[in-house]
Amino acid sequence: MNRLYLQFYVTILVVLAVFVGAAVLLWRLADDDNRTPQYLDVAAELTGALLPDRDAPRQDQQRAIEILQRKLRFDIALYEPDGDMIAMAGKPPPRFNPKRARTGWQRGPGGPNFTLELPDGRWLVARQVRERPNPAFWIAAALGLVALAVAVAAYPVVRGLGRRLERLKAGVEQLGGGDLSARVKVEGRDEVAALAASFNRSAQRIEELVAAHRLLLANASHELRTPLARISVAASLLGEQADAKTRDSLKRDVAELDQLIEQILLASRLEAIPTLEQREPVDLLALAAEEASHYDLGDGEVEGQPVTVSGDRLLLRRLIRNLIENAHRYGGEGPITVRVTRDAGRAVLEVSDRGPGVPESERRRIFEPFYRLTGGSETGRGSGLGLALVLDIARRHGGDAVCLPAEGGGSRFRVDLPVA
Amino acid sequence: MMTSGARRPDTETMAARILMIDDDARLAGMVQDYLGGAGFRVTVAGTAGDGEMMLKREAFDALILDLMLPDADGLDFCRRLRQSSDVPILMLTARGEPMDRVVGLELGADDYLAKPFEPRELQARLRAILRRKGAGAAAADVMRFGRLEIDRGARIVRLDGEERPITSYQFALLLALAERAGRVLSRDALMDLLKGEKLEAFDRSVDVHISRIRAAIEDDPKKPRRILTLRGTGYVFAKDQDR
Repeated sequence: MNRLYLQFYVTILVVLAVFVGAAVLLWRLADDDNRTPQYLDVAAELTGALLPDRDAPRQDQQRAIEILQRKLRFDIALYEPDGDMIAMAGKPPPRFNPKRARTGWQRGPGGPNFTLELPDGRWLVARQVRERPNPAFWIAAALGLVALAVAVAAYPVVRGLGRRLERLKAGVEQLGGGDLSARVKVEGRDEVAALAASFNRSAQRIEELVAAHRLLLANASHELRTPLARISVAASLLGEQADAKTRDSLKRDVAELDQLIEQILLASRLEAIPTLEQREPVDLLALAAEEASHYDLGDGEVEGQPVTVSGDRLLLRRLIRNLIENAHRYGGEGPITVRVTRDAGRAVLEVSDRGPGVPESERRRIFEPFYRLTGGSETGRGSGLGLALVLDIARRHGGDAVCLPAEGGGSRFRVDLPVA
Repeated sequence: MMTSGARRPDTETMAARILMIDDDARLAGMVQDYLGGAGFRVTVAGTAGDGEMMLKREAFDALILDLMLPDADGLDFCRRLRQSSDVPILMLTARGEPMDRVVGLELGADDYLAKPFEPRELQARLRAILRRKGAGAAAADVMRFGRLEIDRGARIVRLDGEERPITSYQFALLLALAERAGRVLSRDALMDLLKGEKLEAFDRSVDVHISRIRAAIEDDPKKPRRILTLRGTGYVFAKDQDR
């Protein structure tokens, strides 16, 4: 049972059931203690002794019974030895059967009867007058009604509390899912309402902070790219006066810095958006060829078969670029091979290099942001976000990225994606 | 390197007057120098307010507008300007988010360039929007890939605004590739697409034509970036040539 309101409700019902059970039990125990008092025995015997003889006229007998009934407040009936009624006062007694009758107290439907066989063979049956027929029944019924009322009244309260908590949970999940505009309705003035209000304040704060953060990044991007733009234009203005090597190296540095800014911006933007913003069919092999044309693959090449995946073209381009960039940076001078294949309904992209490779213990960790290989050199450092972005983008598309050893040495980065 | 293009003004941009609205005075100064060398007359305004004043005083052929201005949002400025004027607008931005591009063009900007940019590309794009303005509606039939323009109407291909010589069969081949940019096309598929085309006097293989086209439109035909070969599979025309 994992619904809170059900737990509450069942607890209330169980408590009520225990309460009613205990009440009935107590009443029963009290009833047992309250045995018919001894004075009734004496009263009955005296009554018998005071009655007129068996031969006396019926009217006398009837009168004597009525007097006794009034004085003792008993319902009384007098029978012949064969069971015929002689006289009766008060409420009519239940049917009397002399064959089964015996002297003494007996429980009956209308309460305890006292039956007495007189010395002349007549039977006297007395019954205490009762205002209510059976108090046990009424007490149980009253308790049952109270229990029912409590159960009925408690349900909406408990269910309402459960509903409010569920709405609060939905709000928290919406926020956690990345929708920072998620707010919940504040109902009432109790602790749940206070929690809802406090959640709303926190969500507001988070939204403001993230917005400020993104604005800061956008501004930082603008501030960083403004001087870059100047350098880029200045490099072109140098024209033929400058030596081509210096100019090209300058342009490469500008491009590198530009890429770095873009990676950081992209990483922070992806953090804020949990799903893909747009999808289109993308020919992975063509995209890989396009990206690879901007790099020197050595003796390596782009090979494989055209496979179409459905995804965000810009993100997939970034994924491929980062893998090739990574192979370029850490794969030494050897050839870089890019392969696109289809394997069991998945599109598989592999980028292999002939570098020193990655030790097995670190093959998972290199996908963490800013993780560096132990003992790696300081030269040729990237943003530290490249592979983290690769994994993020692959997962976002319903795929995965792993680092494997390449046959003959080096690393093989393998990304698989669902085919469109 | 194609820097010589910047120093060769052609007739259509000879007297083109450009207004650049950007608060980065040093960048604007350099762009002014660069485009000046290419035959443009560039006026610089540091704020949206100054820019508006200059637009009222003088007629410009095109506008280079920065997205982030000290006194206004470039997008708002662009939207406002569009209500009264159809001067071609090229937006400059450093944000670099793909959204900006769509928004900028939807608001009526004619083109968009992200900072940092190659001045050569700025010049090519300026020429393109100026030419489009001159050509009117017919110019809609031009495909653009970064610095490359394929004019389907005139069956001409231009790089950095300059026409490149290719034969009509080669143009058909280039167009077949460009219309399927970003997809791998096998030789057979290409031959199928070109069935209707009149063959050249010497029927050469697709590969030879491709290398001719490359010689015309690639910066370095040995390291092609626009038409790529996938050994044993076919060819790809690069979809994103912006960088």
